[in-house]
Amino acid sequence: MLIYSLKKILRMVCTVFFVISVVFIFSRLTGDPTLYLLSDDAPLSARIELREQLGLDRPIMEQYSSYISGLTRGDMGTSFAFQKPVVDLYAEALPKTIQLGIPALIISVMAGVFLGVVSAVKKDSALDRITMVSSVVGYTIPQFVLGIIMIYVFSLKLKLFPSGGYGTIRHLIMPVLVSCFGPLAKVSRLTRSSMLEVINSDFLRAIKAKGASKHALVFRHALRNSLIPVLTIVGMEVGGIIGGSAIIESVFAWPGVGRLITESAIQRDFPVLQYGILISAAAVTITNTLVDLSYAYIDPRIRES
Amino acid sequence: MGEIIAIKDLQTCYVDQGNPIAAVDRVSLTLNAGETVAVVGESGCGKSTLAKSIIRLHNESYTRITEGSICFEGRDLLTLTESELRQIRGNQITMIFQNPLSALDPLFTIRQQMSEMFEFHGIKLKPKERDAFLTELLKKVQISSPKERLSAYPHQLSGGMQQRILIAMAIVLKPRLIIADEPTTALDVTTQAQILYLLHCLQQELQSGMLLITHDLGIVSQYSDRVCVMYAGVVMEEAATEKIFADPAHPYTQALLKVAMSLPYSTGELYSIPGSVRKFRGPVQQCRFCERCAKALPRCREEEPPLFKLADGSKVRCWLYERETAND
Repeated sequence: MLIYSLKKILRMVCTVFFVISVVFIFSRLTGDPTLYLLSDDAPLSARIELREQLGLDRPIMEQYSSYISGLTRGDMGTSFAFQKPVVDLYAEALPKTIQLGIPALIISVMAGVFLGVVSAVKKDSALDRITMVSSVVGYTIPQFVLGIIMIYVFSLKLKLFPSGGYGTIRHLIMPVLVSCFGPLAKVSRLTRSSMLEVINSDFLRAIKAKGASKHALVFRHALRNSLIPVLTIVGMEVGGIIGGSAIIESVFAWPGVGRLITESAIQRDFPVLQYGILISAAAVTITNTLVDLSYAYIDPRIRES
Repeated sequence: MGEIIAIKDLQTCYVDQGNPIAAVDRVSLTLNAGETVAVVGESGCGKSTLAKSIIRLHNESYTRITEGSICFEGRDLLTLTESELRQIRGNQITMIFQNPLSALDPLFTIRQQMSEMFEFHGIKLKPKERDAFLTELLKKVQISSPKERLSAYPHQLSGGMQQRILIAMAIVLKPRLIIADEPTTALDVTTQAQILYLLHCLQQELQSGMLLITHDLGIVSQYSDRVCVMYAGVVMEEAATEKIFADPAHPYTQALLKVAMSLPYSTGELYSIPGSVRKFRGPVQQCRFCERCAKALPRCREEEPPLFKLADGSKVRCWLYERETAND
């Protein structure tokens, strides 16, 4: 078990390390950050001076090694644009992203599993048809389209919710709805197909032969047996929360991690970008590991192997 | 002694597009307490569908019970609501399935799965009592170190042990009728014999009726009192077990026996019945077996024979026996 855990942790560290290395090198190939930091008519000497000050004049491998050694000492870097430690920027943005992500996750998982179960049990009913059709919509419609439609309808026409920004509960509603739509579609569709497979299996018939009530049949046996594929999807969504949704946060002007990452990428604020990628890569790998462990919790066969 | 269940003219159809195919076509069968009736036939002849239809476990998305009645303890099972039937399933009528591993939930321990039998039928026991009871029960089905097995998961047990567990679950509430749907097909030969013997002893002890679905005539000869031979959804012959083996009436039964006899002692080529079971859509106007029958008459291709009752009480669906029919 110890060796198994160590292996897992080592693999996680390697993954994150690989991701940030790629981001470090490729972001630096996109061009010169001083183009954004200084005005267009700034003299060349000022540009050169700023580049020296930021350490951008050194060879890329040298910059890389000092970045990595900084990381090992706990120095995550300082933003070029804000002249603040990146950790402070994220400390402000992260809670806002979580505030958006957690409600969206809870809604999409609970409603998705519920709809999936009901449409599997009542296959071909009106509810099943509606759920499946809207899940196709949920799958295919891009979030920014949905976001813009909602802003048009609910903000401009009906004037129910503000079109963007951060603050009250009313600011929260539209971005949460938009971000739970896609996962909801995925979860409900997957739960349904996974449930249908179990419902038609021999083993459920055997449990029915024992005299099981519909409730025990569906929720205790069928649902638990169809949960593993659903869990995989949920795990991916959880990992994605920390990274925030760049699109949703941009559409609704939500000052979270996603927007911080997009803006830093546009402005070539490399330290901010790198740290954003670092924490979201770490979040994804950690939740993936937790999901792996939870399989074993659900399924005794996995526990042993 | 007495009649436990009387199936009358039961018809279960596959419904897809077009005319329905009757998987079980007007089958009548009765079973007495302590009696074992074997239902035999090739794959696809409807014996398993018959078994499942009794407690409505057939797949309702593509099969329907269209006709008949199943009289059990004075009630017609076909007219019961799902929740009334639920109280009978697992309690008065239990079923043992072909593949034990796919009849157990892989995610629950044996204790949890066995306790459900009490839970589903409203029997409340303290955990200590329950465990003692279950341990005794596992001992009865000859499971070694029963206490530890209660905490095991299905995949940790051998196929034979899993089937013993299922048998234990099938007898725990002392059912009136046990339906065993090819209970040993998934097991190896030595385990088969033990499991069947165990099942037989427990059934005798409880004096329940047992409907034994199988295609293994060896099993039939040892454990059944009466045999019902099915072919393409209908009963071809029904007779006492000794009669079936000593003097099989129907050409299909004769052919089945010839196959069975050629199996263990065969040195050269194995005998097999030419062709395979056909599905009949809509009304049938021929003997269902005639294409494969060595003794077929011209009449067999024009008219389906009824089930003739012979002098010794056995029944046979074949034109060859028309004149021997007992007057009743």
